[in-house]
Amino acid sequence: MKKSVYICFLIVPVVIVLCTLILPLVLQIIPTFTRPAIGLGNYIRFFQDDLNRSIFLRSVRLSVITTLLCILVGVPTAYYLSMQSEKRRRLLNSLILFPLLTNAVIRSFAWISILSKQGFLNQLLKLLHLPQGTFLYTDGAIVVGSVYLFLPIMINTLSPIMENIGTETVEAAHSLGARPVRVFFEIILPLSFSGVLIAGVMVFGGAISAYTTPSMLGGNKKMMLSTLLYQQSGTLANWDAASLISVIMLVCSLGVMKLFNSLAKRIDKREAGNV
Amino acid sequence: MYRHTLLKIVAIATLSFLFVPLLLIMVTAFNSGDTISIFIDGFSLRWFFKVFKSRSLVNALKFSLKLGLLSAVLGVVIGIFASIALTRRPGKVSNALLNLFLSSSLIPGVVMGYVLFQCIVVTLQIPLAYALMIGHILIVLPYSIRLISAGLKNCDVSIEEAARTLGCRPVMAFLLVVLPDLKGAILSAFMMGFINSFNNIPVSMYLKGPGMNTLPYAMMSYIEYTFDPTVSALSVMIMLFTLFCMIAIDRIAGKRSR
Repeated sequence: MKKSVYICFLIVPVVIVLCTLILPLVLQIIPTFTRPAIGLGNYIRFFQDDLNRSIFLRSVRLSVITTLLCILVGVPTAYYLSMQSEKRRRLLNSLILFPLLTNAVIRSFAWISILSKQGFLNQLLKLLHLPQGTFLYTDGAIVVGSVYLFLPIMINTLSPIMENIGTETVEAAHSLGARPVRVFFEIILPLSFSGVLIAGVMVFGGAISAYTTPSMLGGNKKMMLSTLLYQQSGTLANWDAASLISVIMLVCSLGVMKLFNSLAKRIDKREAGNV
Repeated sequence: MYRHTLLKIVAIATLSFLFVPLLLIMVTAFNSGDTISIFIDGFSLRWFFKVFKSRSLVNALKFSLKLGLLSAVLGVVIGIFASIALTRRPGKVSNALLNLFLSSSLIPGVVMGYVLFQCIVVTLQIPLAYALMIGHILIVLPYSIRLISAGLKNCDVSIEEAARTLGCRPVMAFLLVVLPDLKGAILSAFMMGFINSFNNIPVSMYLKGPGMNTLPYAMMSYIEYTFDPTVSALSVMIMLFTLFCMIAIDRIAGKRSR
Protein backbone atom coordinates (compact mmCIF):
# COMPACT_ATOMS: atom_id res chain seq x y z
CA MET A 1 0.00 0.00 0.00
CA LYS A 2 1.01 3.57 -0.47
CA LYS A 3 2.70 5.58 2.21
CA SER A 4 -0.10 8.16 2.18
CA VAL A 5 -2.66 5.50 3.19
CA TYR A 6 -0.58 4.59 6.23
CA ILE A 7 -0.28 8.24 7.17
CA CYS A 8 -4.09 8.50 7.02
CA PHE A 9 -4.36 5.48 9.32
CA LEU A 10 -2.09 7.12 11.86
CA ILE A 11 -3.30 10.69 11.75
CA VAL A 12 -6.23 10.29 14.18
CA PRO A 13 -4.35 8.67 17.09
CA VAL A 14 -1.32 10.92 16.58
CA VAL A 15 -3.49 14.03 16.70
CA ILE A 16 -5.36 12.79 19.78
CA VAL A 17 -2.25 11.82 21.74
CA LEU A 18 -0.16 14.83 20.70
CA CYS A 19 -2.78 17.57 20.86
CA THR A 20 -4.72 16.53 23.93
CA LEU A 21 -2.00 14.93 26.03
CA ILE A 22 1.64 15.51 25.15
CA LEU A 23 1.48 19.12 23.95
CA PRO A 24 -0.76 20.33 26.82
CA LEU A 25 1.49 18.48 29.24
CA VAL A 26 4.54 20.33 27.89
CA LEU A 27 2.62 23.61 28.03
CA GLN A 28 1.86 22.93 31.69
CA ILE A 29 5.45 22.03 32.48
CA ILE A 30 7.26 24.99 30.88
CA PRO A 31 5.73 27.80 33.01
CA THR A 32 6.79 26.06 36.21
CA PHE A 33 10.40 26.78 35.20
CA THR A 34 9.94 30.23 33.69
CA ARG A 35 7.29 32.07 35.70
CA PRO A 36 7.85 34.39 37.55
CA ALA A 37 11.59 33.96 36.90
CA ILE A 38 13.58 31.43 34.94
CA GLY A 39 15.04 28.74 37.14
CA LEU A 40 14.09 26.31 39.83
CA GLY A 41 12.68 29.00 42.16
CA ASN A 42 9.16 27.54 42.18
CA TYR A 43 10.44 24.12 43.14
CA ILE A 44 12.70 25.47 45.88
CA ARG A 45 9.76 27.39 47.32
CA PHE A 46 7.55 24.28 47.10
CA PHE A 47 10.00 22.18 49.07
CA GLN A 48 10.65 24.92 51.62
CA ASP A 49 7.05 24.52 52.79
CA ASP A 50 6.96 22.00 55.64
CA LEU A 51 3.59 20.51 54.66
CA ASN A 52 4.57 20.04 51.02
CA ARG A 53 7.88 18.51 51.99
CA SER A 54 6.23 16.09 54.41
CA ILE A 55 3.73 15.04 51.72
CA PHE A 56 6.50 14.50 49.18
CA LEU A 57 8.59 12.51 51.64
CA ARG A 58 5.57 10.43 52.66
CA SER A 59 4.81 9.62 49.02
CA VAL A 60 8.36 8.49 48.36
CA ARG A 61 8.68 6.64 51.67
CA LEU A 62 5.38 4.75 51.39
CA SER A 63 6.03 3.88 47.73
CA VAL A 64 9.49 2.52 48.57
CA ILE A 65 8.07 0.46 51.46
CA THR A 66 5.29 -0.82 49.17
CA THR A 67 7.84 -1.81 46.52
CA LEU A 68 10.08 -3.61 49.01
CA LEU A 69 7.13 -5.51 50.50
CA CYS A 70 5.93 -6.49 47.02
CA ILE A 71 9.42 -7.78 46.16
CA LEU A 72 9.71 -9.63 49.47
CA VAL A 73 6.38 -11.43 49.01
CA GLY A 74 6.15 -11.46 45.22
CA VAL A 75 9.52 -13.05 44.39
CA PRO A 76 8.97 -16.28 46.37
CA THR A 77 5.36 -16.49 45.16
CA ALA A 78 6.39 -16.07 41.53
CA TYR A 79 9.10 -18.70 42.04
CA TYR A 80 6.51 -21.05 43.54
CA LEU A 81 4.18 -20.44 40.59
CA SER A 82 6.96 -21.16 38.09
CA MET A 83 7.46 -24.59 39.66
CA GLN A 84 3.85 -25.67 39.13
CA SER A 85 2.56 -27.76 36.24
CA GLU A 86 1.43 -25.74 33.25
CA LYS A 87 -2.27 -26.26 33.86
CA ARG A 88 -2.09 -25.18 37.51
CA ARG A 89 0.17 -22.27 36.62
CA ARG A 90 -2.34 -20.95 34.11
CA LEU A 91 -5.15 -21.22 36.64
CA LEU A 92 -3.13 -19.49 39.38
CA ASN A 93 -1.97 -16.77 36.98
CA SER A 94 -5.54 -15.92 36.03
CA LEU A 95 -6.55 -16.05 39.70
CA ILE A 96 -3.90 -13.43 40.42
CA LEU A 97 -5.06 -11.39 37.43
CA PHE A 98 -8.55 -11.16 38.87
CA PRO A 99 -7.86 -8.56 41.61
CA LEU A 100 -5.86 -6.59 39.04
CA LEU A 101 -8.93 -6.21 36.84
CA THR A 102 -11.22 -5.47 39.77
CA ASN A 103 -12.04 -1.84 40.38
CA ALA A 104 -9.63 -0.03 42.70
CA VAL A 105 -12.63 1.39 44.58
CA ILE A 106 -13.82 -2.13 45.44
CA ARG A 107 -10.34 -3.16 46.51
CA SER A 108 -9.93 -0.11 48.74
CA PHE A 109 -13.48 -0.54 50.05
CA ALA A 110 -12.55 -4.07 51.13
CA TRP A 111 -9.68 -2.62 53.16
CA ILE A 112 -11.85 0.13 54.61
CA SER A 113 -14.24 -2.50 55.93
CA ILE A 114 -11.32 -4.42 57.41
CA LEU A 115 -9.46 -1.48 58.95
CA SER A 116 -12.22 0.93 60.00
CA LYS A 117 -13.24 1.54 63.63
CA GLN A 118 -16.03 -1.06 63.54
CA GLY A 119 -14.17 -3.07 60.90
CA PHE A 120 -13.39 -6.76 60.77
CA LEU A 121 -10.01 -6.36 62.40
CA ASN A 122 -11.40 -4.54 65.43
CA GLN A 123 -14.32 -7.00 65.64
CA LEU A 124 -11.78 -9.80 65.75
CA LEU A 125 -9.67 -8.04 68.38
CA LYS A 126 -12.79 -7.51 70.47
CA LEU A 127 -13.62 -11.22 70.31
CA LEU A 128 -10.11 -12.05 71.47
CA HIS A 129 -10.35 -9.42 74.24
CA LEU A 130 -7.38 -7.54 72.84
CA PRO A 131 -7.09 -3.74 72.78
CA GLN A 132 -8.62 -2.21 69.65
CA GLY A 133 -6.89 0.43 67.58
CA THR A 134 -7.31 2.93 64.78
CA PHE A 135 -5.96 1.56 61.53
CA LEU A 136 -7.74 3.58 58.88
CA TYR A 137 -6.30 6.91 57.70
CA THR A 138 -2.77 5.94 58.66
CA ASP A 139 0.43 5.44 56.65
CA GLY A 140 0.12 1.73 57.31
CA ALA A 141 -3.33 1.61 55.72
CA ILE A 142 -1.98 3.24 52.55
CA VAL A 143 0.91 0.76 52.41
CA VAL A 144 -1.38 -2.25 52.87
CA GLY A 145 -3.79 -0.93 50.23
CA SER A 146 -0.96 -0.21 47.80
CA VAL A 147 0.67 -3.61 48.28
CA TYR A 148 -2.75 -5.14 47.69
CA LEU A 149 -3.08 -3.05 44.53
CA PHE A 150 0.31 -3.83 42.99
CA LEU A 151 1.30 -7.28 44.23
CA PRO A 152 -0.48 -8.95 41.26
CA ILE A 153 1.61 -6.83 38.85
CA MET A 154 4.79 -7.92 40.62
CA ILE A 155 3.88 -11.61 40.48
CA ASN A 156 2.56 -11.54 36.92
CA THR A 157 5.67 -9.75 35.64
CA LEU A 158 8.05 -12.08 37.44
CA SER A 159 6.52 -15.51 36.88
CA PRO A 160 7.25 -15.73 33.11
CA ILE A 161 10.83 -14.58 33.81
CA MET A 162 11.20 -17.28 36.45
CA GLU A 163 9.82 -19.85 34.01
CA ASN A 164 12.43 -18.83 31.43
CA ILE A 165 15.24 -19.66 33.80
CA GLY A 166 14.39 -23.23 32.94
CA THR A 167 14.20 -26.29 35.08
CA GLU A 168 17.51 -27.72 33.78
CA THR A 169 19.72 -25.25 35.62
CA VAL A 170 17.70 -25.61 38.79
CA GLU A 171 17.65 -29.40 38.62
CA ALA A 172 21.37 -29.50 37.88
CA ALA A 173 21.99 -27.52 41.05
CA HIS A 174 19.67 -29.80 43.02
CA SER A 175 21.35 -32.96 41.80
CA LEU A 176 24.73 -31.49 42.68
CA GLY A 177 23.45 -31.21 46.22
CA ALA A 178 22.47 -27.55 46.54
CA ARG A 179 19.71 -26.92 49.05
CA PRO A 180 16.58 -25.11 47.77
CA VAL A 181 17.40 -21.95 49.70
CA ARG A 182 20.83 -21.85 48.10
CA VAL A 183 19.34 -22.53 44.65
CA PHE A 184 16.98 -19.64 45.21
CA PHE A 185 19.66 -17.19 46.28
CA GLU A 186 22.45 -18.29 43.96
CA ILE A 187 20.57 -19.16 40.76
CA ILE A 188 17.02 -17.85 40.68
CA LEU A 189 17.65 -14.45 42.23
CA PRO A 190 20.74 -13.45 40.18
CA LEU A 191 19.15 -14.64 36.93
CA SER A 192 15.89 -12.82 37.57
CA PHE A 193 17.49 -9.74 39.11
CA SER A 194 16.84 -7.42 36.16
CA GLY A 195 13.25 -8.67 36.07
CA VAL A 196 12.82 -7.89 39.76
CA LEU A 197 14.25 -4.43 39.09
CA ILE A 198 11.79 -3.74 36.25
CA ALA A 199 8.80 -5.09 38.19
CA GLY A 200 9.90 -3.16 41.27
CA VAL A 201 10.04 0.08 39.33
CA MET A 202 6.59 -0.62 37.89
CA VAL A 203 5.25 -1.04 41.41
CA PHE A 204 7.02 2.08 42.65
CA GLY A 205 5.72 4.17 39.74
CA GLY A 206 2.23 2.81 40.22
CA ALA A 207 2.23 3.34 43.98
CA ILE A 208 3.45 6.93 43.76
CA SER A 209 0.90 7.85 41.09
CA ALA A 210 -2.15 5.97 42.45
CA TYR A 211 -5.02 8.20 43.49
CA THR A 212 -7.96 6.06 44.57
CA THR A 213 -6.27 4.03 47.30
CA PRO A 214 -4.42 6.88 49.09
CA SER A 215 -7.53 9.01 48.92
CA MET A 216 -9.79 6.30 50.37
CA LEU A 217 -7.38 4.81 52.92
CA GLY A 218 -5.34 7.89 53.80
CA GLY A 219 -7.97 10.59 53.39
CA ASN A 220 -7.08 14.19 54.11
CA LYS A 221 -5.04 13.18 57.15
CA LYS A 222 -2.30 11.34 55.32
CA MET A 223 -1.93 13.06 51.99
CA MET A 224 0.18 11.85 49.10
CA LEU A 225 1.30 13.77 45.99
CA SER A 226 -1.68 12.49 43.99
CA THR A 227 -4.27 13.55 46.57
CA LEU A 228 -2.48 16.89 46.99
CA LEU A 229 -2.60 17.43 43.23
CA TYR A 230 -6.34 16.80 43.15
CA GLN A 231 -6.91 19.03 46.17
CA GLN A 232 -4.94 21.90 44.59
CA SER A 233 -6.54 21.63 41.15
CA GLY A 234 -9.97 20.07 41.74
CA THR A 235 -11.06 22.02 44.78
CA LEU A 236 -8.74 25.01 45.18
CA ALA A 237 -8.13 25.85 41.48
CA ASN A 238 -4.51 26.59 42.30
CA TRP A 239 -3.16 25.84 38.81
CA ASP A 240 0.47 26.86 39.44
CA ALA A 241 0.83 24.49 42.37
CA ALA A 242 -1.00 21.73 40.47
CA SER A 243 1.35 21.99 37.48
CA LEU A 244 4.32 21.92 39.81
CA ILE A 245 3.09 18.76 41.56
CA SER A 246 2.39 17.18 38.14
CA VAL A 247 6.03 17.67 37.15
CA ILE A 248 7.26 16.23 40.46
CA MET A 249 4.99 13.21 40.01
CA LEU A 250 6.16 12.70 36.42
CA VAL A 251 9.80 12.78 37.50
CA CYS A 252 9.08 10.34 40.35
CA SER A 253 7.23 7.84 38.16
CA LEU A 254 8.38 8.14 34.53
CA GLY A 255 11.86 9.44 35.36
CA VAL A 256 12.61 6.71 37.90
CA MET A 257 11.14 4.11 35.52
CA LYS A 258 13.37 5.17 32.62
CA LEU A 259 16.43 5.29 34.87
CA PHE A 260 15.96 1.81 36.30
CA ASN A 261 14.94 0.26 32.99
CA SER A 262 18.21 1.35 31.42
CA LEU A 263 20.01 0.02 34.50
CA ALA A 264 18.24 -3.34 34.07
CA LYS A 265 19.26 -3.42 30.40
CA ARG A 266 22.87 -2.80 31.36
CA ILE A 267 22.77 -5.63 33.91
CA ASP A 268 21.26 -7.96 31.29
CA LYS A 269 24.04 -7.11 28.85
CA ARG A 270 26.70 -7.73 31.49
CA GLU A 271 25.11 -11.08 32.38
CA ALA A 272 25.01 -12.05 28.73
CA GLY A 273 28.67 -11.07 28.41
CA ASN A 274 29.63 -13.20 31.40
CA VAL A 275 27.89 -16.29 30.05
CA MET B 1 10.63 -32.21 41.89
CA TYR B 2 11.78 -30.70 45.16
CA ARG B 3 9.05 -28.86 47.01
CA HIS B 4 9.99 -26.46 49.70
CA THR B 5 7.40 -26.10 52.43
CA LEU B 6 8.39 -22.58 53.41
CA LEU B 7 7.92 -21.44 49.83
CA LYS B 8 4.51 -23.07 49.70
CA ILE B 9 3.44 -21.34 52.91
CA VAL B 10 4.50 -17.94 51.54
CA ALA B 11 2.66 -18.57 48.28
CA ILE B 12 -0.52 -19.68 50.02
CA ALA B 13 -0.35 -16.71 52.39
CA THR B 14 0.07 -14.37 49.40
CA LEU B 15 -2.88 -15.86 47.58
CA SER B 16 -5.07 -15.61 50.69
CA PHE B 17 -3.95 -12.00 51.17
CA LEU B 18 -5.15 -11.31 47.62
CA PHE B 19 -8.48 -13.07 47.94
CA VAL B 20 -9.68 -12.96 51.53
CA PRO B 21 -10.60 -9.23 51.44
CA LEU B 22 -12.69 -9.78 48.30
CA LEU B 23 -14.35 -12.85 49.82
CA LEU B 24 -15.17 -10.88 52.99
CA ILE B 25 -16.92 -8.27 50.85
CA MET B 26 -18.95 -11.02 49.21
CA VAL B 27 -20.08 -12.35 52.61
CA THR B 28 -21.12 -8.90 53.85
CA ALA B 29 -23.26 -8.34 50.77
CA PHE B 30 -25.70 -11.03 51.92
CA ASN B 31 -26.12 -9.65 55.43
CA SER B 32 -29.73 -9.07 56.46
CA GLY B 33 -28.56 -6.56 59.11
CA ASP B 34 -27.64 -2.94 58.48
CA THR B 35 -23.90 -3.11 59.08
CA ILE B 36 -20.93 -4.23 57.04
CA SER B 37 -19.87 -7.18 59.13
CA ILE B 38 -18.61 -10.70 58.63
CA PHE B 39 -20.76 -11.89 61.51
CA ILE B 40 -23.95 -11.65 59.47
CA ASP B 41 -27.37 -11.62 61.16
CA GLY B 42 -28.98 -13.69 58.46
CA PHE B 43 -29.09 -14.32 54.74
CA SER B 44 -30.81 -11.72 52.59
CA LEU B 45 -30.69 -10.30 49.10
CA ARG B 46 -32.14 -6.93 50.07
CA TRP B 47 -28.92 -4.96 49.48
CA PHE B 48 -28.87 -6.15 45.89
CA PHE B 49 -32.34 -4.67 45.41
CA LYS B 50 -31.26 -1.52 47.19
CA VAL B 51 -28.54 -0.95 44.58
CA PHE B 52 -31.19 -0.64 41.89
CA LYS B 53 -33.27 1.68 44.07
CA SER B 54 -30.41 4.16 44.38
CA ARG B 55 -30.88 6.55 41.51
CA SER B 56 -27.34 7.95 41.62
CA LEU B 57 -25.77 4.48 41.42
CA VAL B 58 -28.05 3.25 38.64
CA ASN B 59 -27.51 6.38 36.56
CA ALA B 60 -23.77 6.17 37.09
CA LEU B 61 -23.79 2.49 36.12
CA LYS B 62 -25.65 3.24 32.90
CA PHE B 63 -23.33 6.14 32.12
CA SER B 64 -20.17 4.10 32.81
CA LEU B 65 -21.41 1.25 30.59
CA LYS B 66 -22.17 3.65 27.75
CA LEU B 67 -18.87 5.49 28.10
CA GLY B 68 -16.89 2.27 28.39
CA LEU B 69 -18.51 0.67 25.34
CA LEU B 70 -18.23 3.76 23.16
CA SER B 71 -14.62 4.50 24.04
CA ALA B 72 -13.63 0.83 23.73
CA VAL B 73 -15.21 0.63 20.25
CA LEU B 74 -13.59 3.88 19.09
CA GLY B 75 -10.26 3.02 20.72
CA VAL B 76 -10.19 -0.40 19.07
CA VAL B 77 -11.14 0.93 15.61
CA ILE B 78 -8.45 3.62 15.82
CA GLY B 79 -6.08 0.97 17.18
CA ILE B 80 -6.70 -1.41 14.27
CA PHE B 81 -5.79 1.20 11.65
CA ALA B 82 -2.80 2.46 13.61
CA SER B 83 -1.54 -1.09 14.22
CA ILE B 84 -1.75 -1.93 10.51
CA ALA B 85 0.35 1.12 9.66
CA LEU B 86 2.85 0.44 12.45
CA THR B 87 3.40 -3.25 11.73
CA ARG B 88 3.39 -3.06 7.94
CA ARG B 89 6.01 -0.33 7.85
CA PRO B 90 8.43 -1.18 10.61
CA GLY B 91 11.23 1.26 11.23
CA LYS B 92 12.44 4.02 13.46
CA VAL B 93 9.39 6.23 12.90
CA SER B 94 6.98 3.39 13.65
CA ASN B 95 8.87 2.54 16.82
CA ALA B 96 8.81 6.14 18.00
CA LEU B 97 5.08 6.37 17.28
CA LEU B 98 4.41 3.12 19.13
CA ASN B 99 6.20 4.51 22.17
CA LEU B 100 4.18 7.70 21.85
CA PHE B 101 0.91 5.77 21.85
CA LEU B 102 1.93 3.60 24.77
CA SER B 103 3.14 6.61 26.76
CA SER B 104 -0.35 7.56 27.87
CA SER B 105 -0.46 4.42 30.03
CA LEU B 106 2.72 5.51 31.83
CA ILE B 107 1.61 9.01 32.78
CA PRO B 108 0.07 9.06 36.29
CA GLY B 109 -3.72 9.07 36.04
CA VAL B 110 -4.20 12.20 38.13
CA VAL B 111 -1.65 14.12 36.02
CA MET B 112 -3.41 12.97 32.85
CA GLY B 113 -6.79 14.02 34.24
CA TYR B 114 -5.43 17.41 35.28
CA VAL B 115 -3.75 18.06 31.92
CA LEU B 116 -6.86 17.04 29.97
CA PHE B 117 -8.98 19.25 32.18
CA GLN B 118 -6.65 22.23 31.70
CA CYS B 119 -6.36 21.75 27.94
CA ILE B 120 -9.77 20.58 26.79
CA VAL B 121 -12.08 22.17 29.33
CA VAL B 122 -10.35 25.34 30.50
CA THR B 123 -8.40 26.39 27.39
CA LEU B 124 -10.36 24.96 24.46
CA GLN B 125 -13.75 24.99 26.23
CA ILE B 126 -14.89 21.80 24.53
CA PRO B 127 -18.05 20.36 26.17
CA LEU B 128 -17.31 17.92 29.01
CA ALA B 129 -18.96 14.97 27.26
CA TYR B 130 -16.42 15.15 24.41
CA ALA B 131 -13.58 15.76 26.84
CA LEU B 132 -14.57 12.62 28.76
CA MET B 133 -14.76 10.69 25.50
CA ILE B 134 -11.26 11.78 24.43
CA GLY B 135 -9.88 11.02 27.88
CA HIS B 136 -11.26 7.51 27.82
CA ILE B 137 -10.06 6.88 24.26
CA LEU B 138 -6.59 7.81 25.57
CA ILE B 139 -7.07 5.17 28.29
CA VAL B 140 -8.14 2.48 25.80
CA LEU B 141 -5.58 3.29 23.07
CA PRO B 142 -2.40 1.81 24.66
CA TYR B 143 -4.15 -1.51 25.34
CA SER B 144 -5.72 -1.69 21.89
CA ILE B 145 -2.55 -0.78 19.99
CA ARG B 146 -0.33 -3.08 22.05
CA LEU B 147 -2.63 -6.11 21.77
CA ILE B 148 -3.67 -5.63 18.14
CA SER B 149 -0.18 -4.93 16.80
CA ALA B 150 1.06 -8.01 18.68
CA GLY B 151 -1.76 -9.97 17.01
CA LEU B 152 -0.87 -8.57 13.59
CA LYS B 153 2.78 -9.56 14.01
CA ASN B 154 1.64 -13.15 14.61
CA CYS B 155 -0.44 -13.18 11.42
CA ASP B 156 1.03 -14.94 8.43
CA VAL B 157 1.61 -12.26 5.79
CA SER B 158 2.02 -14.82 3.01
CA ILE B 159 -1.67 -15.82 3.17
CA GLU B 160 -2.71 -12.22 2.60
CA GLU B 161 -0.18 -11.96 -0.23
CA ALA B 162 -1.59 -15.14 -1.76
CA ALA B 163 -5.07 -13.63 -1.72
CA ARG B 164 -3.69 -10.49 -3.35
CA THR B 165 -1.91 -12.37 -6.15
CA LEU B 166 -5.10 -14.31 -6.77
CA GLY B 167 -6.75 -11.00 -7.56
CA CYS B 168 -8.25 -9.95 -4.25
CA ARG B 169 -8.34 -6.20 -3.67
CA PRO B 170 -6.34 -4.96 -0.63
CA VAL B 171 -9.41 -4.01 1.40
CA MET B 172 -11.16 -7.31 0.69
CA ALA B 173 -7.97 -9.26 1.39
CA PHE B 174 -7.76 -7.57 4.77
CA LEU B 175 -11.43 -8.13 5.61
CA LEU B 176 -11.54 -11.75 4.44
CA VAL B 177 -8.08 -13.01 5.36
CA VAL B 178 -6.44 -10.90 8.07
CA LEU B 179 -9.44 -9.82 10.13
CA PRO B 180 -10.71 -13.34 10.96
CA ASP B 181 -7.20 -14.19 12.16
CA LEU B 182 -7.14 -11.05 14.27
CA LYS B 183 -10.51 -11.63 15.94
CA GLY B 184 -8.98 -12.82 19.21
CA ALA B 185 -6.63 -9.88 19.56
CA ILE B 186 -9.40 -7.41 18.72
CA LEU B 187 -11.82 -8.88 21.24
CA SER B 188 -9.16 -9.01 23.98
CA ALA B 189 -8.26 -5.39 23.21
CA PHE B 190 -11.94 -4.45 23.40
CA MET B 191 -12.42 -6.20 26.75
CA MET B 192 -9.22 -4.79 28.27
CA GLY B 193 -10.08 -1.33 27.01
CA PHE B 194 -13.61 -1.56 28.33
CA ILE B 195 -12.54 -2.80 31.78
CA ASN B 196 -9.91 -0.10 32.12
CA SER B 197 -12.26 2.66 31.02
CA PHE B 198 -14.97 1.29 33.31
CA ASN B 199 -12.59 1.18 36.30
CA ASN B 200 -10.91 4.53 35.75
CA ILE B 201 -11.23 7.16 38.44
CA PRO B 202 -8.66 9.95 38.04
CA VAL B 203 -9.54 10.98 34.48
CA SER B 204 -13.31 10.72 34.98
CA MET B 205 -13.02 12.62 38.24
CA TYR B 206 -11.64 15.73 36.54
CA LEU B 207 -13.97 15.60 33.55
CA LYS B 208 -17.24 14.67 35.22
CA GLY B 209 -20.11 17.06 34.94
CA PRO B 210 -23.80 17.31 35.78
CA GLY B 211 -25.46 14.03 34.80
CA MET B 212 -22.12 12.55 33.83
CA ASN B 213 -20.96 10.71 36.92
CA THR B 214 -19.13 7.42 36.41
CA LEU B 215 -19.78 4.39 38.59
CA PRO B 216 -16.44 4.18 40.46
CA TYR B 217 -16.71 7.82 41.43
CA ALA B 218 -20.35 7.44 42.44
CA MET B 219 -19.36 4.47 44.59
CA MET B 220 -16.59 6.48 46.18
CA SER B 221 -18.95 9.29 47.13
CA TYR B 222 -21.58 6.79 48.29
CA ILE B 223 -19.06 5.19 50.68
CA GLU B 224 -18.20 8.64 52.04
CA TYR B 225 -21.77 9.32 53.18
CA THR B 226 -23.39 5.95 53.80
CA PHE B 227 -21.60 2.90 55.06
CA ASP B 228 -23.99 0.02 54.44
CA PRO B 229 -23.78 -3.27 52.47
CA THR B 230 -25.21 -1.66 49.30
CA VAL B 231 -21.68 -1.10 48.02
CA SER B 232 -20.78 -4.70 48.94
CA ALA B 233 -23.68 -5.95 46.84
CA LEU B 234 -22.70 -3.71 43.93
CA SER B 235 -19.08 -4.91 44.29
CA VAL B 236 -20.23 -8.52 44.06
CA MET B 237 -22.08 -7.76 40.84
CA ILE B 238 -19.08 -5.95 39.35
CA MET B 239 -16.75 -8.78 40.35
CA LEU B 240 -19.05 -11.32 38.67
CA PHE B 241 -19.01 -9.15 35.56
CA THR B 242 -15.18 -8.93 35.68
CA LEU B 243 -15.02 -12.71 36.03
CA PHE B 244 -17.28 -13.07 33.01
CA CYS B 245 -15.00 -10.76 30.96
CA MET B 246 -11.91 -12.73 32.05
CA ILE B 247 -13.42 -16.07 31.07
CA ALA B 248 -14.50 -14.57 27.75
CA ILE B 249 -10.96 -13.29 27.04
CA ASP B 250 -9.50 -16.65 28.05
CA ARG B 251 -11.88 -18.54 25.75
CA ILE B 252 -11.15 -16.25 22.82
CA ALA B 253 -7.40 -16.19 23.33
CA GLY B 254 -7.33 -19.92 24.11
CA LYS B 255 -9.10 -20.79 20.86
CA ARG B 256 -6.49 -19.00 18.83
CA SER B 257 -3.54 -20.76 20.37
CA ARG B 258 -5.10 -24.19 19.83
